[in-house]
Amino acid sequence: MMNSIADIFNKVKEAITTIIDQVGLLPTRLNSIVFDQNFVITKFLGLIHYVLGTPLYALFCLTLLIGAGFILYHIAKTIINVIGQLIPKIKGMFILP
Amino acid sequence: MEMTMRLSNHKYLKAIICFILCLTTLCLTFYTQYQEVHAALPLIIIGGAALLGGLLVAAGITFATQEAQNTTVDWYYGEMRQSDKQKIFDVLESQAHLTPAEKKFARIDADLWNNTVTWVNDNFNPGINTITKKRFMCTVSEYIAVDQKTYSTELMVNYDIKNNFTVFPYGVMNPTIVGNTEIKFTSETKTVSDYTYVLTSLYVNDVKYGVEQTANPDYPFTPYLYINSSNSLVLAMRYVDWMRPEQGYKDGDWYTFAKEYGSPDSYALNPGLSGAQPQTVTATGQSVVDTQHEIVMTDGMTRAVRIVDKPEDLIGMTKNDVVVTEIVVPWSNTWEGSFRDCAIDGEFDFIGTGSAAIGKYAVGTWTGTWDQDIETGRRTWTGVYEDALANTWTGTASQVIDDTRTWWDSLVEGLAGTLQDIRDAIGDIAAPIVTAIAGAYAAVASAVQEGYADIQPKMGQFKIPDLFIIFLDILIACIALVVRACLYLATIVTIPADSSLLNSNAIAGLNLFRNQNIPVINVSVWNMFSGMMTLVISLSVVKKVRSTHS
Repeated sequence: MMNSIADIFNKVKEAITTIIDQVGLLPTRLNSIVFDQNFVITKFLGLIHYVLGTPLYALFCLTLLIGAGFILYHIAKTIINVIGQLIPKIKGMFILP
Repeated sequence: MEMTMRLSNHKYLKAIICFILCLTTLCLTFYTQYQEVHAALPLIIIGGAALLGGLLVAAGITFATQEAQNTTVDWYYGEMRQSDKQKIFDVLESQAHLTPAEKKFARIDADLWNNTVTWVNDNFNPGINTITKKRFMCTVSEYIAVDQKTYSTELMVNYDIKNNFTVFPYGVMNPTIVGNTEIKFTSETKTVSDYTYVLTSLYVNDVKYGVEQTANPDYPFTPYLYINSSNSLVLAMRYVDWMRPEQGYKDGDWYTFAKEYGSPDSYALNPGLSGAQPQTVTATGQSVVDTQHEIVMTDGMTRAVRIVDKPEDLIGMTKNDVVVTEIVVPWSNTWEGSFRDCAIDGEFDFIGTGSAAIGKYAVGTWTGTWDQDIETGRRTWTGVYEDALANTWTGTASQVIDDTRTWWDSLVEGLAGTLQDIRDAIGDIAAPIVTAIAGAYAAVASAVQEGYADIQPKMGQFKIPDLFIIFLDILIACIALVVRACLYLATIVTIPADSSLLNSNAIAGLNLFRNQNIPVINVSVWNMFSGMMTLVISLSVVKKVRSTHS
């Protein structure tokens, strides 16, 4: 039983040090994500292009771009609303339809 | 009306978000698999060198220099069969789950061992060998069928120079990607007037290269890559059975697509080569493993090869330093085991005492002598066993030559041994318990103190303002990632078609589907499907836009 208490304490200690280390490394990891030709999503889209053919792939990309555009628009609208609530002075200055 | 529009807008948005989430989940699954692949690659390249080097030393080569060892390991790796490569991958992956003692050796099965010994025998002679090789750095994507994964790796290619060109020893895998160039071929069996032949077409970046080659299906051709005197990669067709002189085909029976039909002599492949660097391999070949005097494992089918800490440790080692015999050792200094020596013909038991107990497995080397006692009918072996961690045991092995014991003698012996074990187990029970309790208290106290000491520097490293800065860094990194992702989104339309994720059967099936023509209207099924889907999707988008605006 004593050993199990010591084990629990050690595990908690390890968890704390691991969390601190990982939080410190997170910005570096985020900055190391590169969207180049060897990126797996690029290869997956290349595969879709190969399977669907160029015309259908173009339509697929158009759908993706439209969807991404909607999401960005929605995000921008949300951010502006949040900022407007935090700073009432500028609430009426930016209006998105 | 306005409410209906708002609701329908939200529904449309939700549908798009769901679609993108599903797509992201799918991509992350691939990403995880790719992470595993990339994690495995450095293991092959770094960890594999010590294992492959040890295997070659065990098969009878002694390396004088690190360079010779690296060159020979690359040489052998390039010529290994895919199934043998897969076995090496499996051994290296299994190392992650082993204890430090068990990581010191690797079990090699009979096929891999025999292939390695054969390769060493074919390429090295007893005594000093001096072999000149050419080394090229070439980025190659290998699709390993057993693993069903594509590995991108930089191959150090170095082979013998024959007929003024350097050869990849096996046919190009289908497909093979060298730099930005994809090479693949299709084979089709055709029959004309009861004569069956194979029609092989070669495609480079989806464009047919040269003219089809026909061949007798009994002696099929396959594309090969070789490097000519101008350091250009050249494609050629070659008989698959070229290594069988009894069939009448020998090295040199080449048919290049180019030469045969008068096109340019070579097809230069990007990124090309980093330049041929002549490399001399100096290695000492030994009389290879004489299986008659080989100590094998008790199951008779596998052997263990020591894995050194660094490949450099193998320099100067001989086969006796790396071929090991595995025995099972119980949890004590006094142990019993068994092994078989082919020279002695038969199994025998070993009883000995050791200087240290290392647990369940011991892997080491035996040295000793046999002494035969004719009167008692027993043969005794006395020697030293040294394991991979330099623990040693000295002991005596005995083999009964003329077994005249009856079955009850064996039964009594067995019972006596078992009763002795039970007596040892139930005696002195109190001592271990007291020791455990006292030890536990001490362990807890020291663990608490140690833990506090461990955490303190870490907690002191970060003050509260530092934490805010860390979170600000994370926020900025997230924003930068989103911006990069948006820029990437703008370029997805320009991504070219890529078939590297598909295996050859899938590509063949897709090509078959695409090439089927509808007889009357003479349009391919694929074109018709593609046109129909384009029309349907366009009309759907137009309808949606009109309904949204109306």
